[in-house]
Amino acid sequence: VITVEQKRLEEILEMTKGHGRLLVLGCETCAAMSLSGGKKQAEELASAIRIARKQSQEEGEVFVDAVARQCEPEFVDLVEKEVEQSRAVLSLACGAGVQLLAERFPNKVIIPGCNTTFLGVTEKLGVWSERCAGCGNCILDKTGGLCPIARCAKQLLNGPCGGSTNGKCEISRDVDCVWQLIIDRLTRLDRLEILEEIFPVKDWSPAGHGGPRKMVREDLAS
Amino acid sequence: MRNELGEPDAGGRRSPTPLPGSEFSLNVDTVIAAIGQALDSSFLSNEPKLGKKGNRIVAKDPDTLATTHPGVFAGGDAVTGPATAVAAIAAGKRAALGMDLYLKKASKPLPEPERDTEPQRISGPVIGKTTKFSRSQNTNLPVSNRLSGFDEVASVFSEDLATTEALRCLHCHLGAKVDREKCISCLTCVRVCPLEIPKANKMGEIVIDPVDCQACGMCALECPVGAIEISLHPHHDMVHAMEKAMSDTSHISPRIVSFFDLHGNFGAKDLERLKTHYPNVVPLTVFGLRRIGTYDVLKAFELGADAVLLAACPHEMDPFPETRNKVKGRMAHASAIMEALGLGANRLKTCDMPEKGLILETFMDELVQKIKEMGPSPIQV
Repeated sequence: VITVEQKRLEEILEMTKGHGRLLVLGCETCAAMSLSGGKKQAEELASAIRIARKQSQEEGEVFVDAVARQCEPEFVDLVEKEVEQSRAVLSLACGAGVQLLAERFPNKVIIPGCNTTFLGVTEKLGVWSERCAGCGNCILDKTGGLCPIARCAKQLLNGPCGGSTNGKCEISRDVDCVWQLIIDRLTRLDRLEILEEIFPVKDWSPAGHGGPRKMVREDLAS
Repeated sequence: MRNELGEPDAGGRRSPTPLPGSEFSLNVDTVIAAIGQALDSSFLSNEPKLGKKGNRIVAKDPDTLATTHPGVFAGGDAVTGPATAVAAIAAGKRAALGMDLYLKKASKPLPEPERDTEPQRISGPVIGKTTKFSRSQNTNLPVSNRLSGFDEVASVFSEDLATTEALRCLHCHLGAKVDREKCISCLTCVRVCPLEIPKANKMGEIVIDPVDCQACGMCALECPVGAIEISLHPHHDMVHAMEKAMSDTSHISPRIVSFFDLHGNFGAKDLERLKTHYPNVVPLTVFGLRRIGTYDVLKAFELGADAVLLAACPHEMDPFPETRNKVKGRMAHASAIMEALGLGANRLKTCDMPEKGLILETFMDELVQKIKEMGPSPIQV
């Protein structure tokens, strides 16, 4: 899941100040699954903004809507009327959703209510952790199914480094050294010899370092 | 009709006999029939083929309720002697199945009586993780006291006992229902349910067993897309009650919106007394504080509350004690938001209800005083 985290209320109040009639728009896939941007969270946030506005005697209705995914033009277009009726939109989607809104509604102020954090897994209710950096060139076959790009603070390809102590990373005692985990797992699978092959210098162009990425399925797009 | 005592019977006992022509009228609103009831078995004497024991019919086959007379089935008080209406209805259903077999000349065994299978349908976690409540005892007067006065010997339940007794009921079929159109398969309900009821299949479809679900409300509150509704005390009813209570009390200041857990040991009279003694309190009853989230707290302030109080039932009366920590977590979250909004976290209070009654008066006095000193909520209503 793409995880998003609602911004601090103070920051949201500052960004939405003076924008008058405001639409708080939930995004009911990844953002809802992150328990940050579903309609429920949108209602809660709208209530908080209304309270803040009452206190500062700021005019402007705050209302709520939601779409299945703000990253799909067909869904975004379904709230065209609601967007047109508002002065600004506070989007609770990830960065992609916020930008698609901005693209579809060129004359509207679009405000991000969430920070997009990472691609990760749910550990348990309310706890998510990063697993994938979207580098565009998966090497998990060579690292025992554990990603050093997403999970090593230095993104080392030939780890571990000298900062690995008792299985933990030097940045924090709470962070596992992923290279320790890789070695433990390959030992268990009796495949440690994989690591004898040295990773060459990584080509970061599929990771976006060569400019914004685009994916085209010729058979479908033509 | 008036009666008079008749001639003594063989045992020397005189029973009342109606006085001819003594009919009279009474002007009343309600009539409660409190006459003794017994089986009129006079018809049995004309049925020599029917096996009898005293004045009861013998059901030869306890499964089909067939009697010794082929094609005749019997059940209810005529067979068991005085019992409940439910037992008689059940016997009727079994006899009907027995007749069906008889008419089809089939020997297919009848299904097991439902009383043997029904309790086992409740799954393990429901039995293991909900608090057990014993049946309330109605008090019988000790013999010595009965001799010395005219007090009721077998008393009925007082209001609070009756409420406690009613709350023991399982809430089968009153619980969570998932709206498939809205559900995004986020698994929050699966993870938050204290009784492990919601189950997901490979395609992410969520199934909530209507018998197992006990309507605690955790999933409905946490569902990020509002795809879950609870039949028992649905959330929108609570919000409507809050809106109404706030509009009815708009002339009062300050106002403390107070959520009282229905599992506390209190009755309607306690609520009435609270309203009279503490006009500043706007009481609302909820089926567990686990039903209250940040949205509800903020809503109360939006509607003009100056403070919000959450009164938890005593720990041992909470049917889902595991949810209490989650309530604390939510209130910490709500406090942080109130702080960020400049309302001040001290306008949100939680307390435990006493063993008996609604709330301790000393606590309420202090709270009302404190909120008065704080002054009205900074929101201009």
